[in-house]
Amino acid sequence: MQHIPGKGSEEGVSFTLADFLKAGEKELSLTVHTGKKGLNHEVLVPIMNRPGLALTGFFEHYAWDRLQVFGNAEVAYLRATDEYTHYTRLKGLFERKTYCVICTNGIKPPPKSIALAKEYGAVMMSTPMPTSKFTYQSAFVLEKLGAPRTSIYGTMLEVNGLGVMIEGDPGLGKSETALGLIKRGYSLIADDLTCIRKDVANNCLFGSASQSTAGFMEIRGIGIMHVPSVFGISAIRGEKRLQLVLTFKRLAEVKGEIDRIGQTRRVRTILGVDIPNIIIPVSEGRDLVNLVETATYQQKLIMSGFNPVEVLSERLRCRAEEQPKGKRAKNG
Amino acid sequence: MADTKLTKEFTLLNKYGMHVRPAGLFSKLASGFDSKIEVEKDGNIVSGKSIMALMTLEATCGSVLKVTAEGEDAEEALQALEDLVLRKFDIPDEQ
Repeated sequence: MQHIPGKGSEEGVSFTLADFLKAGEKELSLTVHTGKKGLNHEVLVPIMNRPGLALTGFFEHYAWDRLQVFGNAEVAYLRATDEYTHYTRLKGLFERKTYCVICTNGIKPPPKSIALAKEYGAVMMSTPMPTSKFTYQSAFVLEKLGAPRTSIYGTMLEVNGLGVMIEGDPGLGKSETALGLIKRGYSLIADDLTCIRKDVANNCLFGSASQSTAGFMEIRGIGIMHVPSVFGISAIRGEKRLQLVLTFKRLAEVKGEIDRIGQTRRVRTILGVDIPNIIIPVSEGRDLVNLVETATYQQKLIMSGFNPVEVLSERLRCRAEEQPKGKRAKNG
Repeated sequence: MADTKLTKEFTLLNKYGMHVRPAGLFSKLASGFDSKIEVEKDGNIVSGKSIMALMTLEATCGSVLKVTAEGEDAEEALQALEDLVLRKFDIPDEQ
């Protein structure tokens, strides 16, 4: 599924079985056996469920809204039951709104289940992957698909291993600054519009470019550039965790807002995640490339636990304490 | 000095939709106005002054763009942009 610009959603995105199939094309090697029509069904709860207990006839708490996995155990159990039970239990499953069953281990779906899936408009799939590996891999695919996402007007780069986004009004030199950073050997992730995906489990954000314009940037006066062709393949990279947001603002607009000490920790909240934020006042003659680069060094230092303001305060305090005593000692 | 906010829907008529050249012409024209200009397609909203952002909409011939202008020259901006779209961006081989 493509990153959708401007479509912000904090709750996560709904998606269909068809989206799941496409997203997992490489990793999950799924084959659809029946129910092509059912592929438009929404994946209601993006988790795999082993319906073993339901197959034994205990349908209480049956998680029909998840994706059902038939592993060796389920199929062996169905085989061990008589024809009538086999049929009624499978029917019971589909009667309870089951919309997708996936057979793992390369097991062929039981013929009765295919017929029933057809009857109820559900989708029957299979994969050659072992159950454990499949459920593990599919969790990643599902998580990515359903992740809350948005897009932000900002240029994102990887600077010193840190995912940094530069935002600010048009014409303040975001792209030009990015160009300078690329020339210093850092990599561009997205120009102008950064697609943000939330990793809910780790409560962090990942930025990337829109698939349609990845690798390209517009520089006023030069035009559209293909960054890897001009600067080499290392000048771009795909997805990167967002760790710092730098906001460019005109000097006249930030009077009083600038923290001269750098002690207040500003944050920029995106999709409910707080990202450290620094306002960079822009005025003629300021070396923005250098400032951005230095801001990332400083941020890395702070992240490592070193606080320059505390260190300086401590030094001043110590000297103040020592001074009078020293004077007295000399005088006395 | 009340800022006007106006919205209009345009249908892309040129053969290949919002590709590089139309996006360039659209953003150039939009940038000439003081108004804030946004373009929406299928719920995706981007700045009308950004060529790269316009291309991410992947709008094709027949796509409907909802254009919003906010500012003192909003009306002029919308009129000019609509004309550009109706003229199929003046691109000869896409008429």
